[in-house]
Amino acid sequence: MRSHKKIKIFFIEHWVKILVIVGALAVTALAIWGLSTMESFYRNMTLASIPLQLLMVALNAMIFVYMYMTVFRGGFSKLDKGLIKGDKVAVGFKDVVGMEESKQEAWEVVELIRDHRRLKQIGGKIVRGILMLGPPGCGKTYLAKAIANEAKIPFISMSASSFVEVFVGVGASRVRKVFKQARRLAEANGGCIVFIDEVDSIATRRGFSYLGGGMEKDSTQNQLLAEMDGLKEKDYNVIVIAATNAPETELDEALKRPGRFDRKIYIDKPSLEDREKLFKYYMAKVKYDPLIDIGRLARQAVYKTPADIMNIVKESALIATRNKRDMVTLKDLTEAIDRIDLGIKHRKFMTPGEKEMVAYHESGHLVVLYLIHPTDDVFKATIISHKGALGLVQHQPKEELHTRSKEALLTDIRVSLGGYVAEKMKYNTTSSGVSQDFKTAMAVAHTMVWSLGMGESNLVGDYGIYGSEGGPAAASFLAESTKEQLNKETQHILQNCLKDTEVLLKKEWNIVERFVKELLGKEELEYDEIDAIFKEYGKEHKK
Amino acid sequence: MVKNTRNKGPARFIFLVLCSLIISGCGAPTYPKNKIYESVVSLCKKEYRIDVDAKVTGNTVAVYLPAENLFDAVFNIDPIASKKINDVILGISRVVISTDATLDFYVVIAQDPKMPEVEIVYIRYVDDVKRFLLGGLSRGEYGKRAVIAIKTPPQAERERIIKELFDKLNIKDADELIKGYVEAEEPISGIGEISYWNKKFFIKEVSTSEFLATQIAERIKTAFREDKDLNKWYEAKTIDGKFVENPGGEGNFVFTVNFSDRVAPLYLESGLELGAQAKRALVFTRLFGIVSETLRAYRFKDFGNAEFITASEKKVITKEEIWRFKEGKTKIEDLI
Repeated sequence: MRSHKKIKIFFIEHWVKILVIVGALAVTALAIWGLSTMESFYRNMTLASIPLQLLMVALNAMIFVYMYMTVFRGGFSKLDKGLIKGDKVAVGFKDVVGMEESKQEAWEVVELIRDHRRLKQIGGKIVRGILMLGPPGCGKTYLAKAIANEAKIPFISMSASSFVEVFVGVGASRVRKVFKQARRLAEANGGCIVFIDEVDSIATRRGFSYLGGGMEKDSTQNQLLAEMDGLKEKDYNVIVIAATNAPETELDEALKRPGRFDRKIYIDKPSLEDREKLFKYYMAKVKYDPLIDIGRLARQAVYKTPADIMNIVKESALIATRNKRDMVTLKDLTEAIDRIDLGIKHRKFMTPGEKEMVAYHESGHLVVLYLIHPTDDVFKATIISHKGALGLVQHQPKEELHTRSKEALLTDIRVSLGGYVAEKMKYNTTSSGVSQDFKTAMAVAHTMVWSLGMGESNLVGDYGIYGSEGGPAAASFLAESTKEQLNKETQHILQNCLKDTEVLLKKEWNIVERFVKELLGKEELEYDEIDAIFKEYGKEHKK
Repeated sequence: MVKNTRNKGPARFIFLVLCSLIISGCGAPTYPKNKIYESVVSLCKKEYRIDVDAKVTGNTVAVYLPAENLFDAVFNIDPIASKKINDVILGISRVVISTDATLDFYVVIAQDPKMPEVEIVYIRYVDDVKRFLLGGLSRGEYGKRAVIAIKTPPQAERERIIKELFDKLNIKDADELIKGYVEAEEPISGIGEISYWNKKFFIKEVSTSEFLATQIAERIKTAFREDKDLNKWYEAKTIDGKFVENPGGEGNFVFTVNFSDRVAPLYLESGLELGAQAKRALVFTRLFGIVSETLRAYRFKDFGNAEFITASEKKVITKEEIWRFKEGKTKIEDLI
């Protein structure tokens, strides 16, 4: 009775396999029977043609796959799996500039890897996965390499996108292969690091689609989860380091749970101090003018990543070479920053009248910004067109700011309106050049009133959720009177800022005129030149 | 240690299937050599419902097909009889390609039992059948490689002559005597004499050389009929091909090609008359071409010369000259 049940359960569990095997056996038997009933010549002819047929099928399949891959998949690419010996990675902790906190956390990981055996003896559990989060270009890969170097174990580096293929299952198979190799290396070398860059391409939340979209990504992610769990059972010293610039909230919860990516290291953009260190580090690799104020460069490079800073120095060296200079000067560095931030200069032909109007417009922005902006410094003013703008005033916060006060936002509006006011005061008319400024000013004022409760009435709350985010249906819940009041307040802010700007520029008009003259003469003014002119009028910033 | 958990089942299954297929190909031939007669007779009976007689002589198997109403009133082959002939050809082909017997040729002789004085003799080389089935020959070339003759059985002719002689001598009731005389004849000498007469096969082992000689003669006849230039100027009379064995060395092909000039060209395109030498060149170009192409196609090298006898001359070319002509290394002017 029991054996009968066992057989029944076996059939229920394996009916597909049984069906396939029986079908395959039946087809084979039929083929053999069919062959045996053939006359010997035809039988031999059929059998003799089998190798040719197999070859043709293989050839057709190859042609199909080749055409498919070439036409639809952008050609063939091998799994980009780089195996590097830990001690061959030429990046040490000393090369990782700045990010002290992240380095400290990473160092702990290195020590855990080194003391793997001791940790096991006292019953501790090795870190299985480290998730490095942060914006692109902040040194995640660099830090991973440094970990591998310090831990002196093999390092397999690959991009998560190279796992994913159009064929479901290929990614999972690649994950298996990578981990198989990692386990072998770990056995031979006492540990191995698998570094997966841009892990978000396989680690975002799994979902279900009736069309099968995302199946490959999901199956790859499932395999990664299984491999990371599998490691625990077999206790190989394989550490997975994954890097992503996607927000943590976008990643699948299963990946983030303890036992998979146990540690998370946040690698943010560098602070002023770190930027200064980074400039010093990269500048040390080129010959540069010793008079260059690296502190000033660091201030100018607010929100720049280490990769940006490396690029600035590299670009400046190229500019210096092109200009036949044997060392990098401040001008080269400024030009490099401009090129990266503002794009390449593009001189448009402008009539003298247009040029003058642009000069007044930019001077208006410049004077307002310099004199009243609480957080930003002016680094450049130009009437040479960049990225489609006829002129521009480049400004940046003096330090990293993560929030903006009401006063700063109001000043942003005043700065935006500076160009309009200057044009109006000089010509008693205005140009289409104010279009982008008005958009900015309006957007800031609207957000202040509708979303940030910075209007002058008692209306507080984020009314924006009834707008675009909530959709038209949600917007209908907002009373017309409320909308009207909010819009009035928005306009009120704009009008007040406009008055303030007019008062300021009227008072400082001689400075505006001076800048117009300078801009028409030089076309571009740098930080130092701007500062010097304000100094002439006793308005320079305190340093 | 990392355990290899790969499922080897599918690989083993494919291996077993391939082994089974290969083993199934090692079976015995369908028509064993000691049962050729039974195989041919039973196959035709079972699959095509045709009663035939068969005989194996050395490397040649002959099948006699009694086909009633073989010819109609205007001497065309009856479609029903034609289908029967094709069925028998197919049947004998199947036997000769799936046997372990060394059979190089098969012969199908079709006769109307009511009028056995006219018969169709169809001879084929077994390798040609195999090559055709394997796609090595085009349908047109395969058709040209068969030797087909519609003729009176030589034995019938002989019997008629003797009968006439006996009649003239006024000898009555001599049927047994005539029959004994005909049957006591020497074995047949050439494939032209292959026949079926008085329920008896007159057959010999066909040799490749004489088969080729006959086939080439047939091809020459076809050329005189279908070649635009030849047909324009000449009309074929009798064309015969034979292979003359030479006890002291390699045998020779001898082609007797009798043709006559047309009174006027069949048609004139340019209005120009060809000179005698040019006409001669035309004829020999075609003759040498057919011979060299056919012999090269069969890779036949066991001969010394090819002799061409026309009404006006006799031309002999050597084997080497034939190959050189085929390869374009010798011009026709150098050979004639």
